[in-house]
Amino acid sequence: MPARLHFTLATPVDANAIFDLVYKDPQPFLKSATLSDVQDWIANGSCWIVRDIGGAGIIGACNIRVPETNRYDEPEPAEFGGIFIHSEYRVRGISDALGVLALASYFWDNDPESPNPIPIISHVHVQNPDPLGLLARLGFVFDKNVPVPRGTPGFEHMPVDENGQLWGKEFRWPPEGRIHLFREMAKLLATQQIDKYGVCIVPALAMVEPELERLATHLEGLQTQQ
Amino acid sequence: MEPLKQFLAEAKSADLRDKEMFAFVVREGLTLTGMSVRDAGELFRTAPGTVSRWENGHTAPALVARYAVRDLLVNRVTRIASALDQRVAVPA
Repeated sequence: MPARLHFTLATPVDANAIFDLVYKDPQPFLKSATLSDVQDWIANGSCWIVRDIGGAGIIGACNIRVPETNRYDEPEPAEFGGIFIHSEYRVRGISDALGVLALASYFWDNDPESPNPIPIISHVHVQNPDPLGLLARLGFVFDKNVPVPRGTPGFEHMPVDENGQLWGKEFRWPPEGRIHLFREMAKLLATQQIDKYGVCIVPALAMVEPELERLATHLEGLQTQQ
Repeated sequence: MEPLKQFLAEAKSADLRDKEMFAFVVREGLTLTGMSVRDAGELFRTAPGTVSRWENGHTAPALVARYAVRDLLVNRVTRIASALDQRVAVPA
C-alpha cells in the first residue's frame, strides 16, 4: 500500500498551513495563537504533523514544549500541547498515532531507560471533555485542577468561574506508561498502516522497532522490581 | 585545528553509555561547529530544549540515538577540519 499520510516534524515552511488548520477559526477551548506564535513553536519545540500527500496537505498537528535548561537548574517538565486533526480525518486512529509518535519520540530522546524521567504534563480546560478520551488512551492520568495565572496570553476567550478565575485540569504521565507507548510506536513502525491509509513515519533519530521493544522490556523489568 | 582533532579522537572512542560523556560530546560538538541548540534540534530531529538537556547532562537519548548524534557531530567537525586543512595547504 503506498504511503499517503506522512508523519514528521514540522519545519518553518509548514507554519502557515498549521496556523490555518488549527488557529484560523478560533475554538472556545483552544488557546489562541498568532502565526508568529506557531513559527516560534516550530523553531523552539517539537511540532509533529501529519500530511496527506493525496491532496489535503497538513491534516494534523501536535506540539510538545520542552523548555531549554542550563547546567545548574532542574529542568522544567515538558508540556504536551494536545492534538488537532482536520475534521474529515477524525475517528480513524490518526490522532492516536500522532500522539504516540510525538510522545514516544520525546521519551526516546529523554532518558528512556530511567525509572524517573523528567515529567511531561498536559492541561485541558475544566469544562472541555473532548480531549479526555485521547489523553487517557495515550496514557495520561488526571492529577489536579490548577488555576491559570490571570493575564496569561491566549486564554482571554475561555470560560472562567464565578470569581473570574480560569481553571485547567492537569494531567501527568506515569513513567510505566512508556511500556505501552514504546510498543505502540514499534507497531506503528512495523505496520506502516492506519485504518485504510498507508503511512510513512519519520520518528526521532535512530528510532527502530527492536530497540523500542528492548526498552519496553527493560521498563517492565523495572516495574517488576518495584 | 588541534581542538578539532582532539574532539574527533575523543568522540570516536567515547563510551556513550556514560551520560556525562555523551553530554561532553554534544557540548564540545556544538561549540566546535558553532551550532545553536536550535540548529542542532533540526539536525537531530528533536526540540532545542531537549538538546539543551543533553548538553547540560540532564538527559540523554536511547543508546542507539547517542551514537547517531555522535556520528552527525563527528561528520560536521570532520568537514570543518578538512576545510581548514585545505586552507592551510594553499599558499597565500
